[in-house]
Amino acid sequence: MAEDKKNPQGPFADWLRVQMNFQARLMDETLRYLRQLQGAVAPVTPGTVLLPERGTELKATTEAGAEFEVALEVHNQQRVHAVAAPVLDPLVSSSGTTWYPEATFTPGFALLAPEESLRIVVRVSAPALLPAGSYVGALSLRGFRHTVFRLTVEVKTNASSSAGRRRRARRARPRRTGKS
Amino acid sequence: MTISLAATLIDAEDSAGRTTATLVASLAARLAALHFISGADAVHSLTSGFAALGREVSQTTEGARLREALCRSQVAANGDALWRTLLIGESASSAIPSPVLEQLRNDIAILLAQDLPETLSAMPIPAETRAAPLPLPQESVTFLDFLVGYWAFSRELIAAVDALAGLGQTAQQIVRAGPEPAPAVQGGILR
Repeated sequence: MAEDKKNPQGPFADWLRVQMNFQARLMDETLRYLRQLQGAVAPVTPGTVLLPERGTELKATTEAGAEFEVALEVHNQQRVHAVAAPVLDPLVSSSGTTWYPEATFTPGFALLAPEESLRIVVRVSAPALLPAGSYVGALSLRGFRHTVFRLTVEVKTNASSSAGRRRRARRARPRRTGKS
Repeated sequence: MTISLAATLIDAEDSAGRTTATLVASLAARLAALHFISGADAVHSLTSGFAALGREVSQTTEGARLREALCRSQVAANGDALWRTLLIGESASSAIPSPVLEQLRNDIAILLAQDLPETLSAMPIPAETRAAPLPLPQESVTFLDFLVGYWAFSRELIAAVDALAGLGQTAQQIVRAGPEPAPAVQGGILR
């Protein structure tokens, strides 16, 4: 009974459905037209494009508890000052682990004069408890989301920490005593 | 271990590019457009622009951390309730997102331009005409998108003004002579 009220059948219901679809389409097209009309008075904002020079693939190898660096050389070829502010995305491994990296950016923000170059150093530290695996994320500059550097980090298990973990696991294992 | 890569910042294709003249013309056109639109349209467009920036910044580690922290607090629920009840999201979702970050960066570049006096003397400069239709409005402008975007914009603004101030700073410590000390009053206090 309730379903009949939700989906009424019959010629009048069909006519109503067609009318509603028509009105929705009309509204959509009107809005689209008005937006194009607005385009005639809306100001244009000159923008900047980030052009990678040596590819967009980055591969790093590190150990859990260790650090690695990425150096990004940015050159401003525009005729006015531009801004460079590096950002790093979370890294995700194939096993589903998400790593929100602790990173320091030197500098974190810079104004680049025309024809000025700047070297940005990104120092990333891998947590000691980070599981080994291949993590994929992105390095980019704020505001240039359409161009990102794909960062793949191979995290290997730290030999000393894994030995320590094995020792701790051995110690934690229940021991048999003569009393039982 | 250090990995090196390089990138160049260039002008967008099929555009006049970023010059002092085009940036001034764009700013003038932005101000002139205010006469053709309502205050509500301007505010909704800015709100939509901040939300677009917030959505972008939320994909980064810092943005995602901030967003998660806000989600865990009462802020997100209260903000969403306000957003829903006062129909802020609905109005902003139908507005064209204003490119707030690009506009801020362009305004900063104007302040640093060497040829600004010559450019201003050549006013009025015709603004570049739009070749393509305006971007479509966002499907839904949420409170958290807006807040994260507003945070990112404010951070950029502070960093930019700090950098501008840094350009004019010559010494780490500034010592200025104070005013001459007033002469000591001789005799007793008058009552």
